[in-house]
Amino acid sequence: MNDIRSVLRAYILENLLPGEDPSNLTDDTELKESGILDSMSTLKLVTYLEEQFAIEFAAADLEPANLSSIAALQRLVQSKL
Amino acid sequence: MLLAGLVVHAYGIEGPAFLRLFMLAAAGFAVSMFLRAAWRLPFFALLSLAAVFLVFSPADGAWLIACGVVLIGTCHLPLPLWARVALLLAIGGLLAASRAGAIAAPWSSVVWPILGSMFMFRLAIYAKSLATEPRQGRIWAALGYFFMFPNLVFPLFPVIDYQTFRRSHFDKDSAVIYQQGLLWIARGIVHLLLYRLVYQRVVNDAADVEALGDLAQWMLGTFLLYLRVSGMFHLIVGMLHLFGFRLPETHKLYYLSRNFTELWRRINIYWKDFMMSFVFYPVYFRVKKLRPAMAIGIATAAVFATTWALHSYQWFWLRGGFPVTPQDILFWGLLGGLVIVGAIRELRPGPKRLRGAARWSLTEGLRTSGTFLLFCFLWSLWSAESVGQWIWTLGAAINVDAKGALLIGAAIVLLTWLGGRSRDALSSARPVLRTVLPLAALLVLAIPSVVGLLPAPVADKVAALHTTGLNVRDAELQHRGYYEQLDVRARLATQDLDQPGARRDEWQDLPSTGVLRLRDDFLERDLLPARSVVWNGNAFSTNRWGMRDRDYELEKAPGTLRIALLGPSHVMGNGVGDGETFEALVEDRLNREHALPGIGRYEVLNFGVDGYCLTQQVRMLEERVFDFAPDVVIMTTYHANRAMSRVFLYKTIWRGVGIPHEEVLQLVRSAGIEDVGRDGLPVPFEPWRRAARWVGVNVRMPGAEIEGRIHGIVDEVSDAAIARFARVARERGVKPLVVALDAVVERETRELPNQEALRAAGLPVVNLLGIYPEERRAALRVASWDDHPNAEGHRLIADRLYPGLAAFIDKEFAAE
Repeated sequence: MNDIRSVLRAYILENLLPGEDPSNLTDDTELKESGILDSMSTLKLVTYLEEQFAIEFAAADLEPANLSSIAALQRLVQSKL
Repeated sequence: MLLAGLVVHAYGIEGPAFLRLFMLAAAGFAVSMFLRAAWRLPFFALLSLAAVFLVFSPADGAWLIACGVVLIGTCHLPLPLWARVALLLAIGGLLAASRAGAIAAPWSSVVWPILGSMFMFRLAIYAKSLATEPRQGRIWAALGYFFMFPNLVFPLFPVIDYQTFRRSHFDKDSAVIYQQGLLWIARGIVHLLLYRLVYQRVVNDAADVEALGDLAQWMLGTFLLYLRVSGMFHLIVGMLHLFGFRLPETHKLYYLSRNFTELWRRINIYWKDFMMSFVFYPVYFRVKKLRPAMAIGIATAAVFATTWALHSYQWFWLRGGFPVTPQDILFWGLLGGLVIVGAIRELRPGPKRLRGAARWSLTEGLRTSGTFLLFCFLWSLWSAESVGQWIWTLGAAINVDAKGALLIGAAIVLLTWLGGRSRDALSSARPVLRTVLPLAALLVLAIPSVVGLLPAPVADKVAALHTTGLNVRDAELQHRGYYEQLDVRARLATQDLDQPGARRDEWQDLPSTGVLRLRDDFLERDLLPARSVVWNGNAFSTNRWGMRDRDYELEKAPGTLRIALLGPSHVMGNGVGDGETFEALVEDRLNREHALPGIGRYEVLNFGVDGYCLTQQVRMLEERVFDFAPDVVIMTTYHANRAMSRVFLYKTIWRGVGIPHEEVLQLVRSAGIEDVGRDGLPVPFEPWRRAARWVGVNVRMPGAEIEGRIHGIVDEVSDAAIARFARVARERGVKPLVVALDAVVERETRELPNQEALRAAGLPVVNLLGIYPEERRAALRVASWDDHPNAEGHRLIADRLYPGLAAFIDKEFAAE
């Protein structure tokens, strides 16, 4: 689980929030409402996670609840493993 | 909440039904706060169901709830998914047939927009969510979700996601949720009042656009009308917050988007999310094996095609029509193309930050102003009545004027300044201040003595915040019988979508009663003789001569002073019963109180016809009135005459009707519209048409260009009618008189229209402009959507007309 969390945090900080203080990004930070994850960045993140964990997402997986925070994304990836 | 309630009351925000609902929300909020957590969702559902009966009659309310329960229940039937979907489609088909009028519905027409709004999208979202939905509290959640009470006064409603609706319920500290809700209620109220200001004082008519300044005003105004939608959505989501639903923001600084992809994400965010979930992701995952750019392009194109189709679907349930217009296709096509380009560009790696850049950026500012202005341009296409009208209107840009340069320059400077700032900086004030300050300021501005201290131009703008009726342009359109086009003009920002309790849907126009006859000659229309109908609840009868009046002999009896009254709808008596027109009242009073030697009887003959402009009044005079040997003939001038004349001339020219008035014919010739052609491809601008004909294409002048050219001569046509009226009356030995009289319109100017022509013709005028006191206007109108004077209004007109008419008679006839 921690591995998924670290991968997610690292990806978001490196690709979506470069230069941001890592302490500002918590497991419960609102990713959609804060605008960090929009449609394009969601697709990029999903593609990355598919490659990283050898999993495959479906359209139904990308419900707002599953994308709301790192914790929610972590649960989603875990359910695919 | 109290402050917001006072502002809602002071400004009449969204009408009386909304005020009732807002008070219910306030009371419900007070109760909900003290309830145990488990009871709050059932309480919200029950409150929403009770609110149905606050807005609708018991029968309509019961039908609405019954329909909803059947639809929700169908989703839960113990059948395979395909069977439930088939059943839902069958029920939807039946309802659609009934909405289209093919099957009679047992409820009144006011139920349709609300029923449609509650279920047209939410049912699909709900059905999709059932598989993953927790069973606990399902019934209350479903009832609350479908019947959520703000929907009862806002048919145009954000597409709320069911999972978010459930998941967000008190998922954070309640005080934080309540504070957010109050902030959005305050913001919604501000947006709605700004919308009023734009609607009443800024937006102009495309047909009046003559130069770059008018064009810029039209484009800015039409886009700013969208404030109504963002205002309503903020208000809706704000009220839902008071019951613990921590739903996301519906609109976010959309006027300050830096590109079209960002605009798409900021404007109507719920719709974007709905499209992402139902179209974008499913399509993308089907084609993701293609190159990423290709897959994203296809998925985005599917989103815009679906959005276009669903707007018409939405319109069908809310309005009963299914508009598919070329400007719709062009608008969504162009916007989709721009968003695709932006989305593909975003595939490149790029940073996002939790906090925006603190420093002001010129590049970001210029991108913001560029996006805004380009979107104004596109939005004006969507708001135009036709593509032809849009292109013709754009032609005004070649007439560069100071107003245009100033407007565009100011917009660029303001948007660049705001757009270059950090988004966080724009909303950094404390939420309590952002909630309380605007509401308190609005409340202060609602005090008449405060407004009295303001300079006149500012006081006028404050007055606009209180104005709830149609603006001058739309009021004129209503008069000329084009009211139904408001659907097209105002689109989703329409004024009257929110009146489910109103009877406007059932309001009959005169042609549908069978009393009005449309003609193929220069008179264009008249009343059929010897008809008697009930029109919008009033007896409406015509005599054997086709006058809305009692019967008269053709031959005038000796000792009778006969007055012929010409005019439009408010002279004919729209909205009042037989015998209640001011014409009948004045006739009775003259006979009762104004005895003169040699005059044994007065007769006032009402030749008023719905929709008549001055030119038609003169035509009626020449064709029919002189047969009755009148001693006095009265023409009615009014401010909407200009709009009426435009429509009359358009119809005359488009139909190729012969123009018997030489002076009008000359003007039509000078405008280049004597022969506009009726077949062929509509092509704007004469050089373009010449070029098209040169390559063998059959073309004609588009309607918008005809309208634009008419605009240039319409005042002269009215002047010509006035001169002709005076001349022909005097030639026949009849005393001409002019009465200036408007319907009960807001912002009526007392300045006499066509003053110079009246003076040149030496016509006496009884000026009744401005006779409706502002505080009594609502009580003097037929209905809030129909500004013709009611019976009380006609009595007021008669009281004010009588002394002027009596004085005129004394002057002209007493000596004789």
